[in-house]
Amino acid sequence: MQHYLLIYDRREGRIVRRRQFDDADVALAARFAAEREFDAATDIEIVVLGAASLAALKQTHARYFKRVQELAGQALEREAELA
Amino acid sequence: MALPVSMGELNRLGDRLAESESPSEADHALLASALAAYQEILELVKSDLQTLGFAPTGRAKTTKTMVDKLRRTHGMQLSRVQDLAGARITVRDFQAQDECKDKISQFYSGQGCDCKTIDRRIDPRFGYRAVHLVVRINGILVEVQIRTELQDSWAQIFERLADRWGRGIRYGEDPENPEARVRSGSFSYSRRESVQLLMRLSDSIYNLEDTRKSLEDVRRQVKVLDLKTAEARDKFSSDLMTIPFPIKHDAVWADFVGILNELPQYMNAECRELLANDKRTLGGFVQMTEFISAFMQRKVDQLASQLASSDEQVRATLTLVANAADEGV
Repeated sequence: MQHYLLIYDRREGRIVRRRQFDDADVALAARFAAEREFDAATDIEIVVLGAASLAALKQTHARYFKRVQELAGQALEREAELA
Repeated sequence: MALPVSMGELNRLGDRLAESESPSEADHALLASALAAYQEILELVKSDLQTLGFAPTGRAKTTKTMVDKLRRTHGMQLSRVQDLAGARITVRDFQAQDECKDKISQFYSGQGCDCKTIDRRIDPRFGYRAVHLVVRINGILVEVQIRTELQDSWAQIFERLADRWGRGIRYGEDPENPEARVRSGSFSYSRRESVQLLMRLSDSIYNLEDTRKSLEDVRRQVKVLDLKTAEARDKFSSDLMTIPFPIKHDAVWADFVGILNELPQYMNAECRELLANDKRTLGGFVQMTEFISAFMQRKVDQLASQLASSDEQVRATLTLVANAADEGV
């Protein structure tokens, strides 16, 4: 299991910084350090996500990686497969 | 790993975080140690879920969203926040969602852990639909979100919009700048209307997935019934109509008559005649099961038509969203 620290600008809809860790505790410590660093930035979200791979993460937490239009397009593809 | 602080201390920490704009160094350290415990239990849960054959991802709640939640839900105790640690699984459809929920629930119940199911499919929260399990391990709550692929797509779209238009829309509030226009092809919607459109999309997705499941259930039932009917016909051969239906099984006959009577809209003359004559033979019984099978096939056709309509509705709305052009959301 890998741990991904994402520093995400909600308004801009983009990942400002991404780091990958093998160890959950180290990732959590990096999250707290980043929270201090971006303390005054109200639109910044700092999160550590654990996943088997970045590809798995992009599936379950797609909003960090895709725009609304792309997410809707992906949903259309999913529905086409199910139909 | 157990919590490094008592529940009381954790709750008091939550109160201070909710009240203060800039928590003290000591509170930062306390929160870090508490979240480390949550993270450790979350890792165990993810490992269990992998062992059960799922591909979970997970996260400890961010400090900002945790503080927002404590402020929004005045008086909520930090220890009672169910999603401080959360794992997520996406599955294909309702059937897989139910199977996944049952498998995980049975696993943790078997381990002696409390495991509560929250079914947000029929009781959505501001459009959000999923099945959640809240598992308590060593006093620590972990939320397992089980979403179908379409529920997940909806949630991701809505969250992304909330990032851009203000997270209040996730709790039923208006978007920021609610009259700002969103264009999609030749259509134009306000942000408020777009949020309403997404609420309707959530309902359409529910109808689509529910109809799909009903259709699969009925198809399965029809298949079993057809098989059983064929077996019965083979057993009783050509003299079925002369063999009396055993009196001792009158209740079985009555059950099937009851099923037919509940389907008057499908009855034809032949079926009505069978019921009116009440000649109880094994042949008559087989005929009844054939009628029921034919009625169920009509139900299948109806559901298939309903499914096609729901599918069209969902696709139309998703296409609108996919073509939307609003400042790069």
